[in-house]
Amino acid sequence: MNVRIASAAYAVPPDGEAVEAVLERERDRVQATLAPLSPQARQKAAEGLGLSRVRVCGSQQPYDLVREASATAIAEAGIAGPDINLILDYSTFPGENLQSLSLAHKLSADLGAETSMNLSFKAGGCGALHLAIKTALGWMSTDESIQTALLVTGDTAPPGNRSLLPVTVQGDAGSAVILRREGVEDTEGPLLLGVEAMTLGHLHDAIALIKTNGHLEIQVDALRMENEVMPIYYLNLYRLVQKVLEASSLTLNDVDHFIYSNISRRDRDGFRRMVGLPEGGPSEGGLPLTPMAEYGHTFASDLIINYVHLRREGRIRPGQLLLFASAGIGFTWGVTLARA
Amino acid sequence: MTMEIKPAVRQFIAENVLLGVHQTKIEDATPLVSGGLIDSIGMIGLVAFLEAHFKVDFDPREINVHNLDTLQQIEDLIRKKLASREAGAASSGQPIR
Repeated sequence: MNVRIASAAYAVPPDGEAVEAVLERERDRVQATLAPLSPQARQKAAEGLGLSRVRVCGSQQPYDLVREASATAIAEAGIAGPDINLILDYSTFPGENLQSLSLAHKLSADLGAETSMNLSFKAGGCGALHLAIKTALGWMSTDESIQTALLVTGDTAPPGNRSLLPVTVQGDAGSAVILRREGVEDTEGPLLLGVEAMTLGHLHDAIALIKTNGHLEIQVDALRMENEVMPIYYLNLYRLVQKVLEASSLTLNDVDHFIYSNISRRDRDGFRRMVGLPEGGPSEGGLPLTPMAEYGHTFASDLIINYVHLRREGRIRPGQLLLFASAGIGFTWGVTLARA
Repeated sequence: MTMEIKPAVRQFIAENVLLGVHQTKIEDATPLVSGGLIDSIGMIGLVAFLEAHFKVDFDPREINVHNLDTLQQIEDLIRKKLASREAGAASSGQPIR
């Protein structure tokens, strides 16, 4: 079974906020989070973010962004709502105001995807895209009637919880990806070659979700991040990259485009070193530029945003190899390989 | 089987992770990770070396600052793994590699 990425789209709210203003507003929370770290580690946490602004949901909700992104992706794929057989929602923070048990079910109704199988699951921040792709491939491989899958995520930081220092600052976004079996109405788009993912449950509370006075709060355990997550963060990602490449008899040198998260400039530099790319922008052979400074870290939508920008810039040519990689809270690591 | 662990790890770190840019002498208790000598990218090479050189496998859960921060901790973990492997091989009647 061959499956292609038929289209991808994202939507961000029009309103924005300066990262500096976010950190000032959440100063007490930030200071409490960073307090257990050494002075050097505290200083490092504030440096190298590379994020200037974040987009924030005002009157819009993550569902509205998902709906907008889905409509764009559906139009780009040249299909209609009823063509969708499977909807997977892998949002991490779909918002406290979501008036539906399942975002996927609501989307199915609103898109007119009357016969679609609908599933919402929470799987692990920006690593969840790979779990969603793998899950969709599983459904498609066991049910021939599922030919088209819509994968969506829409996320907004809980009020007062945009800072995830020492890691990142969160912006709001929604995104949609359409996967289609090869051969269905001349489906075009990158062919999926492999997906690998891993989760480590013992790190579930390194970034924990707690409820205070009925409201969701994100609590970052900075010491556990430093002592338990970071020593394996790139190691696990590297192992998955090697695994997915080896399965296709490929190496890092074969990859034309690395599509990675917008967690921070510091983190992107770590990934660049991991895959052995030089410093600098794409003209120097480095990682592609992304709109991270404007959007902040948007969880799993990061990869879609960066993929869409690469396509818009016309940088992806037929036959080129794309490697999507990300890791997120949960903790979850994932890598997806595709041939354009 | 007696295996020199700390000297081999010390040499690997000096030659491949620190690349000679640090003049720090790596003592048995020198904090490698928490002291900033080995970052998370350096961990990729260190773990690959430990697994290949000592023929052991690490569970991702074992790789943290509590187990791998000093040469002494690394030696303790490797010895524990080697002993466990030898015990397993002995009980199964398999020759020890």
